[in-house]
Amino acid sequence: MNDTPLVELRDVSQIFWVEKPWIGKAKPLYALRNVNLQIPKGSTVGLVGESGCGKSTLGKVILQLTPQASGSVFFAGQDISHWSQKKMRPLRRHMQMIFQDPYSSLHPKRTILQNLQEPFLIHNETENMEEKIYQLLQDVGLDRETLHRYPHELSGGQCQRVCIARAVSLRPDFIVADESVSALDVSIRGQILHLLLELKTKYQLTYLFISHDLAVIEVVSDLVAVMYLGQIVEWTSAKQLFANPLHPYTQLLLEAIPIPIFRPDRRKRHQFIEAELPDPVRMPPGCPFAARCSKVQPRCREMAPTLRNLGTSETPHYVACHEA
Amino acid sequence: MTLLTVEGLQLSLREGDRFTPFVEDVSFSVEKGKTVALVGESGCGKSITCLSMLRLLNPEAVQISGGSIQFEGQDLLHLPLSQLRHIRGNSIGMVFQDPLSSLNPVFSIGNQLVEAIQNHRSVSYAEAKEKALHMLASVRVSRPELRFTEYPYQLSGGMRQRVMIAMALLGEPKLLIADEPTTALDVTIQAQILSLLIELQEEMNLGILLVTHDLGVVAEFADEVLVMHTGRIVERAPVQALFENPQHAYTKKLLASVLKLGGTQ
Repeated sequence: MNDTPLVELRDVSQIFWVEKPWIGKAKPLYALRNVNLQIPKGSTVGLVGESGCGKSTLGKVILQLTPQASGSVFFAGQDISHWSQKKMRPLRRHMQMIFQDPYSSLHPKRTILQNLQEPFLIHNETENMEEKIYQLLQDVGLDRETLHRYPHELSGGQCQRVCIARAVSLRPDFIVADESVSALDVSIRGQILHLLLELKTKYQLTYLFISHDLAVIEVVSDLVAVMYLGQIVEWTSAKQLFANPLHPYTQLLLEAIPIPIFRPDRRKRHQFIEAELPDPVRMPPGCPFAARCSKVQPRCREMAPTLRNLGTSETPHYVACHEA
Repeated sequence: MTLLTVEGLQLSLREGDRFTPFVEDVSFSVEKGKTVALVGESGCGKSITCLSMLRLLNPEAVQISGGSIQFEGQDLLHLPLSQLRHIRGNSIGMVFQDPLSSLNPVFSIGNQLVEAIQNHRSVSYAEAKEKALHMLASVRVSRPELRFTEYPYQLSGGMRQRVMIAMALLGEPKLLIADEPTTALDVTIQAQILSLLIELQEEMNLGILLVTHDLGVVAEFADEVLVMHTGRIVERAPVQALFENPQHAYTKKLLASVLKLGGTQ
């Protein structure tokens, strides 16, 4: 593994301006707040959190689909945070995205073949295009007949396979998989995860795997970042995170998952603090998780905790919590 | 006491000018205070079976072509619409998957709750409002007076689903049909909604027909489980037996495909 991470974020913040009153200024909503993240080459980083915590925003900032408000983004050692769209274009083929809903990511009025040709045409690589497409289909486990069908004729799982084929068609280095298996049935989900892992070895890919499902994250990830309201609250190896979660939010997430095993005490009520998420526009001072935390102390409401390493230098375990 | 008995239900889907059966031989019953879960992959016929309980299907597209549905001794399939309407929302409440599209975006929460009450009962606005506020409080909606005046877009997903549950419970039903009530929600919110449903079930002695694809939810919540595959019930068992000793090959496959935390691939 190379020492320079493939992707690196340094103090990245993203602000959306919302709730503009009739007179006066709009209010800032911090979708990302001073995020630092390193994605080593060849690894899979899982990004987990509840909806609206900024997971997808982070993915889009890395790919520079939406420019960040402040901070810098490095890709393969280069600072790409202020590149123009034109300058970005040749780099785009090295970074791809797979979305949640495969149907809406394919052109509904074009056949699968036309959908798969698109990246080759855009990047002017029409040489041996047919053969490459056949190879891709084989790689993702579809047969050639599929090429002449339209997206609506395929099942969700098949459609997602087409999207994956399209994402890897130009041999990218980095793929952001944004909730790529969330819309699929459990039985299909396993197959698609397996396919993604297979392609990772085959094409030497690096993944940022965004999901709200901790079970999925555990299967695919080497490293995991837990996000809460625009901040990374825990960041360590997957093994460490699931064996020994330190942040109360991670613990809450793990406890909330219903387990498909019969237990006599199953109806024992989850001991949750039934607080709502704070309004991201009017964030109280201190720790963003304080309102829902079971270990909350007075200082949590005054001073926001920063990420600190509670592990060793070989196996770091970063947690943003005063009480951990 | 048995609330709902379904026997040999058959549903047919229109293809051209013919109707072909696609849900066949579905039989089950829901007892008072108990939860029956209907599980299966998407497209297996779970939701449509649910909708057929209250005859909410479009007869142009889907027809109930056989079997019987009895609710407290009444034959729901042959009940005149005027009487069926009285059962819908009164004795049987229903909660759907997507709470945003189930609420009307241009009316306030209070407006929609009051409408639902006044549709079923001739009560004054003030009485209806009081009832609505009481219901919001009993589904643990924070600050009911404020929520009453708010619109669906101002509420979070979990809050909206609470409002939907409140609406389903307005008529003090005996049976609640919940079609994937937590699928669109985060795990933490899902846990809150599930424990709310368990509490309400104990308080009101509700019978619940729960449609879900999440076996974790089934394990925590259901008393009896029906496994559906391509329009047929392939296994029907008490929850403990199903998880500890699944009989049908499809059930085994379904249980094996669930990703478990702490389990390796």
